Amino acid sequence: MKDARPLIRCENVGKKFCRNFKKSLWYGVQDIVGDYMLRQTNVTKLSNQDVTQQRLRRDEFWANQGISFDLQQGECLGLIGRNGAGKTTLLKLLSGLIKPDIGTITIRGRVGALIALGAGFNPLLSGRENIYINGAILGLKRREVAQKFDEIVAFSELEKFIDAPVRTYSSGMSARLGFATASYFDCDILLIDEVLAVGDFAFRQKCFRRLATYVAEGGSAILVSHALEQVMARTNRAILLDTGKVVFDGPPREALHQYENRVVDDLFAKALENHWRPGRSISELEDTPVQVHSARFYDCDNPDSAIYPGAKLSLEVVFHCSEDMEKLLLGVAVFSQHEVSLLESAVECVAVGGETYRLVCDFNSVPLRPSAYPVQIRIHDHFNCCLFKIDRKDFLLRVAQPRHEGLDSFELQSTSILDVDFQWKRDVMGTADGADCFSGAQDL
Amino acid sequence: MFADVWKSRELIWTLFMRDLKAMYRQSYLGYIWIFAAPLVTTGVWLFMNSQKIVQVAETPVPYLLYVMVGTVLWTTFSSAVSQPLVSFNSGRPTFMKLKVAPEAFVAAGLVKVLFDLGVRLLLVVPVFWVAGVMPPSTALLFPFAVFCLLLLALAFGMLLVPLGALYQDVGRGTTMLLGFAMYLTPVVYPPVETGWVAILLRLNPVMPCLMTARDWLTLGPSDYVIPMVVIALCSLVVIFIATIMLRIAVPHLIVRMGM
Repeated sequence: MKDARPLIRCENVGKKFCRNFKKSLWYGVQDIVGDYMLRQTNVTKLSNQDVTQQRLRRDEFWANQGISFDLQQGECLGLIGRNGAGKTTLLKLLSGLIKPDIGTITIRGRVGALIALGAGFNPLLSGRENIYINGAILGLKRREVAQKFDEIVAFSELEKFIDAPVRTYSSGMSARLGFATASYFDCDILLIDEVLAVGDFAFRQKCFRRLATYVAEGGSAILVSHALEQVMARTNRAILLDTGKVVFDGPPREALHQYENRVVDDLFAKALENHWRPGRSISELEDTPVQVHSARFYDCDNPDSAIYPGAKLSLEVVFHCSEDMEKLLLGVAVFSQHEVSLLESAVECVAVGGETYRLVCDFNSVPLRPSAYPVQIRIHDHFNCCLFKIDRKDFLLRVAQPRHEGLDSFELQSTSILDVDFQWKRDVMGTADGADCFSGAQDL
Repeated sequence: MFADVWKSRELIWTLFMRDLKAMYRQSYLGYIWIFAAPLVTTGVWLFMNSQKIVQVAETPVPYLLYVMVGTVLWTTFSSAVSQPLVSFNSGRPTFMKLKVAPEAFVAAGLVKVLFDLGVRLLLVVPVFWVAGVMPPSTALLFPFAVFCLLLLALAFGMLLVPLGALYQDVGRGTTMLLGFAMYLTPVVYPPVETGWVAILLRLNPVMPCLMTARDWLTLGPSDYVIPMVVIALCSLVVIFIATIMLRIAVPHLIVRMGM
C-alpha cells in the first residue's frame, strides 16, 4: 500500500565540522557535556532547534547547511557534487549515525546503508564465517543468513574461495562478498555511497540490475556517485550539492548539466579561454629555439564573437623561431573533460631562424556541444623532440550556448559531446495489404 | 536500553566468536596465552616471597593458592576495566559507517573477559590439589562475588569510554594506573591493618569484592560481604548512567572521529 507521506523529510538541516583536529576533539567534549546538561535523553530524535548551535566556533565550517528535501517511496535519488561538497555527511545524517546541529530529519521506514562494504570482516577468517559476521552487524538473524547463504555466495561468484581467509581475497573480491551480503538486507530506504564502483564491469552491471529490481519493487534509494552516467541512468531525481548547500534539486539531466557547468567555471578560473598567451603556462620549455607568442581559437566568419556549436573554427598559432629548422611538427588536440581526445590535427613546416610565423588551421565545422574543452598544443623538431607544449589545464576551447529560440528542452539538457545538425524523417512503409507502399517521406 | 542489548545477543555472540577464532587462528600456543599473565605474576611473587626479596605477611591459606586466586581475580578485574574502551575502539570502523549498537561491541568484549576467567579458573583447580586445600562450601557463592567484581569493573570501564574514544590519553593512563592499583589492592599480600596503607585499602572499592571472592573460594565466610554488596549496587547505578551517557555521546564521537 502506498503512503503519501515521504520516507525521508529533511528540514533546514545543518552540520558543522572543524578543520583543526585538536579543537575538534575539544568541541566534541563540549558538545557531549552540553547534551548531558540539556538532558536530551531522546537521542533517537534527529532534531535540534537550539539557536546557540547556529553560531560557528573558531575553525568551524558548515559541512551541510540549510538542506531541505523529501524522499518519496519508489524514488531513486542521486546525490552529486564535488569532493567535500557534503554528500557523505548528508548520508551519515540520514542514516542516523550523526545528529544535525540544526534542523530536523524525519525518517519513516528501515534504513539500509551500503556505505561500508564488508563491515566487520576479519581478514583471518574465511569468507563463509565473514558472511555470518557481516550479516549479524547488518542486523540479520543467523537463521536468515543461513537461508540466504547459497544465494549470497552465488551472487558474489566466490564459490571456489568461500572457505579461504578473506585476507587472501583481492579488494574487488571482498567488496563483492560485502555487497552480496548487504544486498540481502531488507529495507525501505537504501543509502549507497560510491560502493557500486567496485568489482569488474560484469559485476557492476549485476549490482545495478539488483538496484533496479529493488526500486521497481517500490524501494527507495539515495545514490552518491562520481560516475555521473551511473547517476543519470539509474535515478529519477538528483540533488546537486556545493559547499554543503543544495544548489539544484530536480531531473538528473539538468542536475548533471549544472554540475558540469560548475566544474567548467572552475576550470576557467584557472585556465585561459580560447586565447592563450605566455605567462600562465608552466609547460613552456626553456632554451628551445621555438617560442610561442600566442595561440587562439576564433570563428572565421565572425572572429570577434564567441564560438558556437557548428562554427567554422580557426586555430591561430604565432611563434618565433631562433634557429633554422628544416622540419617543425605542430600538433593540436582537443579533449573532452573525461580526457578523451575529440579531434587532432598536425602540420609539418620549415622555419628560418629569426622569423616569426603565423600558422592557421581551419576546421570546417566543429560540432561540439556547449562546454569547455581542454586543448593541447605541441611543437616537435624532426627528431620528435618536444620543443614547446601548451598543457591541457592551461588552455580551453569554450563553446558557448547559442541564444536562439526554439531549442527544445531535451536538446538543452543533452549530455552528448557532439552537436550535429540532423533531421528526422518518417516514411510510412505501407500496410500488410501491400497497397500504398512508400507513400513518401513526410514531415514529422 | 537493556532490551537493545538483549536484541543484539546474536551479534554479541558472533562478535565474540569472531575475535576468539581470529585471535588463535594465527598462533600455535593458542589458548595457552590466556594462562600466561596470571601464571607469570604468580611465579614472580612466589619467587620473591620464597627468596625473601619481599616479605609478605602470613596468609590464611597457602601462599601459592592465595596469590594464584588473587591474580586470576585481579587480571579479570583489570581487563574488564579496560575492555569497554578497547572494544569500543576496535568496533569503531564499523559503527562509524553503519548503525550498530556500540554496546554490542562492549558486551562482546565482556563475554571475552568471562571466557578468559573461565579458562583461568581451570588453572586454579590443580593449585588446590597441590596446596592440599579442599574448597569450602562457600565456594558455591564464588560466582556471585565475581559478578560483583565485574560490575565494579564495568562501572569504571563504561565511564572511561566517551572521553577515552576522543583522547588516547585515557586508555594509556588507565593501563598505567591499573598496574599501580594492583599493589594498592591485597592481591599478592593479605590486607594490612595499620598505617596509611590500611586507610588506602579501606577506601579501595576493589578490595571488598576481591577479598570476598577469594575468601569464599578458598577459606569460607568472609568479612567483606556487606561492603561488597553496597559497592555492587552503586556500580549498577553507575553502569546504568554511564550507558545512557555513552548513547548520548556516540553521535558526537562519530563526528569527531572523522568520516
